Amino acid sequence: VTSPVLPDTYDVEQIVGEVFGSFLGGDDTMPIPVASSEGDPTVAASVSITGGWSGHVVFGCSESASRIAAAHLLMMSEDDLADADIADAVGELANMIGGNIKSLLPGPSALTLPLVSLGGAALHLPSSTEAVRLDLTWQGQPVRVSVWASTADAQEGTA
Amino acid sequence: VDWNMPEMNGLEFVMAVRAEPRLRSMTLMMVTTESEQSQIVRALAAGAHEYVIKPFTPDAIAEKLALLGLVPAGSTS
Repeated sequence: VTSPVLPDTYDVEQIVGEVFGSFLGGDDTMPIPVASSEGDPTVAASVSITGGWSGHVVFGCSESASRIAAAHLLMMSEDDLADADIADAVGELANMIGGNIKSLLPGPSALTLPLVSLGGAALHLPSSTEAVRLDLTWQGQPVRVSVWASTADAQEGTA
Repeated sequence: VDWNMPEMNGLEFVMAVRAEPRLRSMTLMMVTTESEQSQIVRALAAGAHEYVIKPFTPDAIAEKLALLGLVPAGSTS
């Protein structure tokens, strides 16, 4: 049994670039990879992938970044955003990034609806280990995308 | 119609619309991150007219709408 080839940070960067370029302001405001971000994201959304490969994709960012993104995505003023709007926007970003990462992994597989945490609470990612992490800066704010592999898959791959 | 929705997924929604005589002629476009060929085939077989994979550009949507005859061709820019 061989391990599936996971997307690397370059793949993730390309996907994030496509999503941000299409929905969050175009080429002038593309996210830029950084060595590491300061602190952990306070807003996060995850989608889970089950099937040919199992694991999770997590999109995280600062509260400010989540508000800027939601305002762009929903074409609303930041002042008019409710928490539900921000949760919808961050969840949609996780959905788009996760769905495109899923397309690089062995299938067939299914994608779950996003789980969102706005208050800094850690998302529950059962039985998984972080396999890829990409830290970026966007609009001067930290953004992180990570891919978490199910440990069941990892054990199978190393057997 | 997105594929991933709460309570009823996009494929189920398309099938439900096509099963309802009053809605059978409604134009439906799937707009989703699901890009597996088998899913595209299932959605089109169920009655979706077009299938767009996210992320997309406004021009891509306009092009699909033109193909469906819902906007004039070449009206994207």
